[in-house]
Amino acid sequence: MAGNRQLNQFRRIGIAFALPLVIFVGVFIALPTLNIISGALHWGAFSDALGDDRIRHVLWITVWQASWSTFVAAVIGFPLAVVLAHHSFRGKRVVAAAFSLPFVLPTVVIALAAVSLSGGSHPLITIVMTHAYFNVSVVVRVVRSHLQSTVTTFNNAAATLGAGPFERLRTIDLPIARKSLTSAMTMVFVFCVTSFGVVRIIGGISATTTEVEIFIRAIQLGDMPTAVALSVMQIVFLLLVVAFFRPTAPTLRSSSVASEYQRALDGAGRFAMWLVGCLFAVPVVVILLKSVRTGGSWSTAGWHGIDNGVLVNSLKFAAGAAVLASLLSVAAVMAVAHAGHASRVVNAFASIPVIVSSIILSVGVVSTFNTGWYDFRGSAWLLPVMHAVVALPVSFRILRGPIERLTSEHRDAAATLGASPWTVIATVDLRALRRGLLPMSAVAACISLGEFGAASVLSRSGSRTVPLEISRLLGRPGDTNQLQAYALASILMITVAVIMVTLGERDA
Amino acid sequence: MLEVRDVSLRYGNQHVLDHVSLRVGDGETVGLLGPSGIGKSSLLRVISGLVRPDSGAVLVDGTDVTASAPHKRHIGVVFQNNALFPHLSVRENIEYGLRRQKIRRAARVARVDELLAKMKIESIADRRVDTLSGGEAKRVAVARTLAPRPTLVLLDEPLTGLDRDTYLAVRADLIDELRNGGSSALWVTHDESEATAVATRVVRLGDQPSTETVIA
Repeated sequence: MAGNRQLNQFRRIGIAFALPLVIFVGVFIALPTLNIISGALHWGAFSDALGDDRIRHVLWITVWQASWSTFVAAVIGFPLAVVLAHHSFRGKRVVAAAFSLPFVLPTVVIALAAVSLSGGSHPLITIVMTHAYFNVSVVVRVVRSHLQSTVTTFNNAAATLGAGPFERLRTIDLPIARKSLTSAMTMVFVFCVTSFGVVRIIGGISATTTEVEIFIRAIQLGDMPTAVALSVMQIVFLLLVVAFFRPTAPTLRSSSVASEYQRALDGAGRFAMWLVGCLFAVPVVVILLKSVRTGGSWSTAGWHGIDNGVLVNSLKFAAGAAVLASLLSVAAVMAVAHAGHASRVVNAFASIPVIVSSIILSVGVVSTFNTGWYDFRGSAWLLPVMHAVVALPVSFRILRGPIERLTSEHRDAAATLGASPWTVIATVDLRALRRGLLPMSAVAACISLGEFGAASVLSRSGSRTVPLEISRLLGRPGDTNQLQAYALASILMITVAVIMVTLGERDA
Repeated sequence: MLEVRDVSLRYGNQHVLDHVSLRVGDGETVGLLGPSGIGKSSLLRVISGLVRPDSGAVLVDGTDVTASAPHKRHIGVVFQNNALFPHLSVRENIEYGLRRQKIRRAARVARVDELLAKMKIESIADRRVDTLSGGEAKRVAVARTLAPRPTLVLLDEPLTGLDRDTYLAVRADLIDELRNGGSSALWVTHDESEATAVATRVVRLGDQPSTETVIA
């Protein structure tokens, strides 16, 4: 009985934590989305959209590029995850950081580097390679975490039974990690379908996906029925994908394994890992070079004419988004840990932003909160709120790592030592979360700094962000504008790197 | 058979093995005794090739294998936690090493059946390994290690966690199998009575360099 009472108290606490998240998701995601769908959607819009050759082509391109991007990310990421999970080598932390780098780099920056490297030709292939570049880090993180915590010992056993590296990859790692690989690939596929910045900058007219088409229809052409119909199709499609593959919502942390269980990598392996690590740094080098070099000569003109206002805006929005995403993520993980059956609902709520188009969401926000006391359209806080929405699924998963390491025995031990349920929450759960807060806030801030979709809709002239300014400068003729765009991209990159190195690389 | 020559190993600043030497003769079962944390399991990892020592050498039948990958050494290991492959059945686990040797199917089946019988686990041959009891899992781990007929068997506290009756039964079958099979073995334990019961010779891994004390 006493145990049940304790459990019920924890459940009530869990539901109390769920409330702020449910209210936030209801107000800033569900309400605007449903409002715009009910206001602009009519059944004829679906048949009109599906009867349009251009839309059909857009849908095909969306699925095609997302499938190939996912495949390439998995083919590159899986062997890297296997090596990082099972082997130790000099400089491993640096190489692993190089693989993680793209995930927090602003999409606009990498898209810019991709355009420079490809020379603007073959946009579809460039989009696929850019998406793969971003998402290799997702595959590496999710699969490595799983392999490292469970499979290193099996891999060692297989080695002592005569299995070489490729046989171990085929017979041990791949079958055992199939679930986490599927999870990672599903996440990557969803990211690629909803990707905006990369496709907008690289794709041009020939390679447009649903997310960009939604932007064109809603913002540039004012064709809301088609934009909303596309958005609904995208949500339904992604829900079906997620339901079919049932990703297990992996935590985005790199679990540690005692180094003595990891085998030393031989010389050729070390060389290969360093080489791949260096290749991951190429786009960064390209951006830095292009910020000081134009028409065959060196110039620092781009760095002189930078608008400091956009930098300040971006930093303010990032700070706000990080604080809000932190509060929401803490509430979400506490609710998931304690709310019993309701935890599945909370999990779904925290993941919703992944499948909802940030463009349609932002348009929904603008058209919902547009009159009387709730006319928020010009409010400076709206953009950080939307950035927190975009960051929520990732920050939530990062923060789940520390809470998942706690077992019921930890809480029971605290209770038997005289701690009330609220004291257990404060001294066990929240204290465990403290370690994850800084890395999670850092990632949320970096996501905000690079966010492009919501900012494209919500920014006003006085609140332009760095990615928007980069996009604006790229659309203007003249070498100085190009240099400034690359200089701003460099500053964004350096800012993200500083944030991640000082705050984000602490193990959550 | 096996010669460990002046092996040292460090993890960071911590000396795990400090100039350790050891010999195991043909057909001999050597018990490796020592307190927890002295480096017994690390020594097994060095011998099996899972960890490369900072200095010293490992020789098998006179050949220096210090730089060889573990899958090329033909040294079997019974891991403390069994490390049974969760995605394979009992039979498939035992067959795993034979498949790596590209042995034909009929011969593989015969060898697996032989070991299932010897380790008294025929009735669980098609079970998933996550449904096994501690004793059953240990028998499967032993059968899997012995199946490819390794030249040397390393056992890392192989009987840890078993209840008394199961412990005695598995220990007896394991000793029989090692002796009848003629395999050389290095059996790590922290239990002196176990070491003297299973081994033809017991070596104590001490905390002094090059300590090798024959106590039985």
